[in-house]
Amino acid sequence: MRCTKINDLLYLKPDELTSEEIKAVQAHIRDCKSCAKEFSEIMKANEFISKLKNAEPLLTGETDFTNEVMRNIANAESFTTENIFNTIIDRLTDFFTITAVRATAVSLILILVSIFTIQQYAVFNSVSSLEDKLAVTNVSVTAVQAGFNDVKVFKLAADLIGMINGDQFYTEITGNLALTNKTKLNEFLSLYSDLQHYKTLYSREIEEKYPELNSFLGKKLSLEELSDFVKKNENLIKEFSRKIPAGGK
Amino acid sequence: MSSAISETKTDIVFEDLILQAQKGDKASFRKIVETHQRFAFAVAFKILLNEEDARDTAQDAFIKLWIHLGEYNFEAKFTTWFYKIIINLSLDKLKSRKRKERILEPMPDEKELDKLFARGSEDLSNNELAEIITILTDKLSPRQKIVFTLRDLNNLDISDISRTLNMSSGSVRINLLFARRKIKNYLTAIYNW
Repeated sequence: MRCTKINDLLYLKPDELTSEEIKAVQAHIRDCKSCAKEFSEIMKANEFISKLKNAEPLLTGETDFTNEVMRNIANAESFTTENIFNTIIDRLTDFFTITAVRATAVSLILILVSIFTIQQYAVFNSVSSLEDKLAVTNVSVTAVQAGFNDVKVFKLAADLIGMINGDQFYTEITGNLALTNKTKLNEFLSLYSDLQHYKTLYSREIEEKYPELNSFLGKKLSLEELSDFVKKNENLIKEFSRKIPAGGK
Repeated sequence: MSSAISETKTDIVFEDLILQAQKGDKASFRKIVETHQRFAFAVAFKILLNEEDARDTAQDAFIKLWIHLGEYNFEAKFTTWFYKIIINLSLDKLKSRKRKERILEPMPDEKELDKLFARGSEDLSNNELAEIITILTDKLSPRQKIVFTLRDLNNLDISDISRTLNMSSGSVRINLLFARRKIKNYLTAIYNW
């Protein structure tokens, strides 16, 4: 067999070769000095490597090692609710240690806070501008009975009335109302202002079709009276609300 | 004759331990751990060349052994069967370590090799052993390195290496002879054989 072929086989051990290959190697190195020399070097290297193979790295704290194995096995087996809960918490904590997740969560929080802040600012702003308007209209506000003591709501109500009619109207209305919250006041004022508006725009028609509206609006009213009137006169509301586009007062 | 008999007796006792452990007896499993922990650590260490990693991997190997012990059917030798568990876990650790490592450690000095000649392997510390294996396998490709480690440092059969690494036996042989040739040439150059 030629040197080139044998050379590879020199590097393999007897249990890695076939019996034919072993015979071929033995026969070749008997006759070839170059391969014999190389084989000798290989044997020395194998001896070196063999020492490494036999080297036993030292395991320190063998008892601790065994105890730790047994403890881990016991922990793995006790899959209690507490462990499940702790595992979930651990996984969530690990999840939120991921930079991208943290960044996303912080961004979301900032966006939500911004939206809330902007909304609150917008409400505050609109109330402030209403207050400014009211200061200009020179409305004299009369205190309303029974638990209605929010000054800003007064001003809000006055502003709505101020847009429709004069001060007297407002004081007459609030003088008779025992309103307990802003919603009811707004509701009342909204209904009242709608009816007043129809009366102003369609006075002739309303006189002909709904003469009771004139006298009704001249009275001092409560919210219930006003609501009853609207319920009984649904046709009035439908007819004239169609004529007035949304927000077009 | 008497040593053969005592060896057989030891085998029987050990077989009994495994049978008991397979039934869930932790005391028996504990004895298996005690008698094989050095072996598990040594196998993992020669692949990972790091004490902490080797210790963790050996621990994991025993936990996996506990879980899968029921699958052991006494056809193969126990150490051969357990070997594969340790090696697979070590290779997984090696892959995950390569993904995470960013800093390259400095190459140990070639003079470390002299320690093996001068003192023999029994006197080497874990660090020294790791350094010598690192120097020796530095010039090898990753495939050559792992084939060499499994065959020449851990004594695994070519057929078992072939199955573990999902390589053909022919490919294992070629990588092995390339690895050995490089190491031989390296040592010959240093020591002028």
